[in-house]
Amino acid sequence: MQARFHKFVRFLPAAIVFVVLASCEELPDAASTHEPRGLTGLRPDLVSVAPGEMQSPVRIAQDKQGRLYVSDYQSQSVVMLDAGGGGVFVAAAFTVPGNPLGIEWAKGNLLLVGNATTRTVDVYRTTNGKWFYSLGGVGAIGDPSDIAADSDRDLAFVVDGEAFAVKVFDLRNGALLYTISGPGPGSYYLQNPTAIALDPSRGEVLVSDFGDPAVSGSPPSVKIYTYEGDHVKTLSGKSGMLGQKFSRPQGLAVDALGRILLVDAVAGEVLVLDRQTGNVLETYGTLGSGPGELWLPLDLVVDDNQMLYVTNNRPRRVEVFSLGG
Amino acid sequence: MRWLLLIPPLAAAVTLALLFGLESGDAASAVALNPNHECSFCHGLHGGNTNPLLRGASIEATCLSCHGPAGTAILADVHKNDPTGNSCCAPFRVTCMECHDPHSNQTNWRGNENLKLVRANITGANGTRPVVLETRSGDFSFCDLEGPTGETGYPQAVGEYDNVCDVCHANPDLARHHLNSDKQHHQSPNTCPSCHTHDNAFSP
Ligand code: HEC
Ligand code: HEC
Ligand code: HEC
Ligand code: HEC
Ligand code: HEC
Repeated sequence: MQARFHKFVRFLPAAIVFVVLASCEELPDAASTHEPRGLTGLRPDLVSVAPGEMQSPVRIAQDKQGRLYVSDYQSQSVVMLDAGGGGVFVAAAFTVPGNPLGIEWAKGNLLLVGNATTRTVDVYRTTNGKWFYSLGGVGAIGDPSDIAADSDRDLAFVVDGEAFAVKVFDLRNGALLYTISGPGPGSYYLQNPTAIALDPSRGEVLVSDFGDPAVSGSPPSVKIYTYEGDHVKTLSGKSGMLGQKFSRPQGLAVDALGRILLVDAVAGEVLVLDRQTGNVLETYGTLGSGPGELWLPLDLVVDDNQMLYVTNNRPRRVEVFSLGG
Repeated sequence: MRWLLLIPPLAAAVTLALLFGLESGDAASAVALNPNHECSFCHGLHGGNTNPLLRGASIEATCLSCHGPAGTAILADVHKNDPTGNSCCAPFRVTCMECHDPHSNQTNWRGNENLKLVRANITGANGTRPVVLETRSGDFSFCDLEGPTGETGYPQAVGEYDNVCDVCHANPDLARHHLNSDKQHHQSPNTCPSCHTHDNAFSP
């Protein structure tokens, strides 16, 4: 415990750069101090979330220009955020017909949104928030908890929590190509998958998995597969007999150094894991509701400037950290 | 040996239960448990593992790691202002533990177990009041207009205000069957959460 705590303290001060997008009552509303850059051509009736008013931010994605997209579960909206000028602020938002979960940007200004109510993954145009087509059609995905896309290979990987599997779709026509895992025993199969990330350079799929909390042989883990679905390795959340590195793994990403960034929803921290050993290299954030603190963090993205954006569900914010420091 | 005495008996029990992987039914477990949960669902998690006991914000995060969006169990949220922005009231927030006891379906004043891990007593602006949440004619005792023997218009537990919502909303117009209410939808035989759903913070 002692060693871990030291590591944590050492990295923390450098880590927190600024905290933005305050939307809860007690914090100043950063959004109001910026003139929203706003998407042009967005119909006002599509906007349901006023700037600074996210209700339940869940997943986050980023496009090539650096704009962020957040699925807001309770307000049934997709919120678009602009980062820059020392802050992050709501630029625009559009409503979706139900509660959105997974979200991902793909080339051609496409936004893939998993809808827990309609049980579909709907593809919208980021330019006007208009529905374009749906992956696999109605009923293809029971619980579209998270999405990752490889635009170069025209592939979309969708976590279906209900099927305990990752479903792979062709981005060009929305067809279901194949399925990775499915329920099964041991550390090879997905037990309770929650979130997903891709490592295109290695052609690998990384999946956060709660494991089966009722079965001692199924700890929480990050499971790595090839794009084709062959199991590569499993990084367990357990360490030693009683220790734990993470217990409720959610959103994850691979950074420029090939390290795995992972949020633990209960612990309120972002872990940086060594891809080979699974060792914890650094942590960012700590449990709480104040600036730089995380309370039910659910997802993250890291950009080319080593900035880390984390959806902070309970405080209804996006938290920003600078990696490395 | 003396340090053992310093550990409160309950804390010792959970530590033992967790160390040896004991589950409900084992002698070491301090409390009865709902069959949907096991001790390890909530105790000994990373971040809380220096201390087997749960405190403060980590409790809500623990529940919502499974019952929240992108979780793996049935959805629920805290009771708070209407998230669509049409709230009637000043900011308020009622968290999981105020209505639930994660360790057992507590025995209510009628001598029966409450359903859904709902507490036998809930504290709100009206003080601490007894709560009854039982199956009654295939329905929960929210605003059912049916008595124990099927009579209609039965004002459940007269004077007790003991439905889960009544205890805080002891307003006859709103919460108690709405028989005299101008809010016509409140005279329906549906349970309160059938309209005020749990995953939407119990908002209309
Ligand atoms: C659904 C979540 C959940 C489950 C399952 C659960 N607990 Fe708890 N437990 C809690 C919470 C939350 C608290 C903190 C209570 C409080 O602050 O009032 C707690 C507190 C305790 C405490 C300490 C009481 C104190 O003084 O803080 C003990 C002992 C305990 N639990 C034992 C157990 C055992 C043994 C089991 C399995 C039989 C179990 N719990 C299962 C959520 C849970
Ligand atoms: C590890 C995941 C997990 C955690 C953590 C958890 N639950 Fe649950 N809970 C479940 C599952 C699974 C069920 C069964 C229903 C379902 O499948 O969703 C359930 C059922 C329930 C029920 C319904 C019980 C019944 O009698 O039908 C209540 C109430 C509940 N949980 C409250 C809580 C509260 C309060 C907490 C936090 C103190 C909590 N849960 C933490 C997984 C979890
Ligand atoms: C205002 C009181 C209140 C609060 C606060 C509250 N609950 Fe509940 N909860 C209830 C009642 C009442 C029911 C039974 C509802 C029903 O059956 O329609 C219930 C049912 C549930 C169920 C079972 C749902 C089902 O359909 O079986 C779960 C799970 C649950 N609650 C979890 C939670 C969690 C997690 C929190 C905190 C985030 C929470 N509750 C906060 C009152 C509350
Ligand atoms: C622990 C106390 C407590 C319990 C139990 C409780 N409430 Fe409330 N509720 C409040 C408070 C406080 C408010 C804010 C308004 C007020 O002060 O009366 C409120 C407000 C509301 C509102 C208005 C929300 C808005 O933003 O417009 C609704 C609807 C509501 N409650 C429904 C319910 C239902 C349904 C239940 C039972 C499942 C319930 N409440 C149980 C404390 C409680
Ligand atoms: C048939 C659906 C329905 C049922 C059943 C229902 N409600 Fe409502 N309730 C609503 C709607 C819709 C509103 C908002 C519109 C309004 O205030 O008339 C509302 C509003 C409320 C409010 C906020 C009132 C305000 O001042 O704005 C409270 C509190 C509330 N309900 C409590 C309850 C309780 C407690 C029960 C169960 C005894 C219940 N409701 C049953 C639909 C329902």
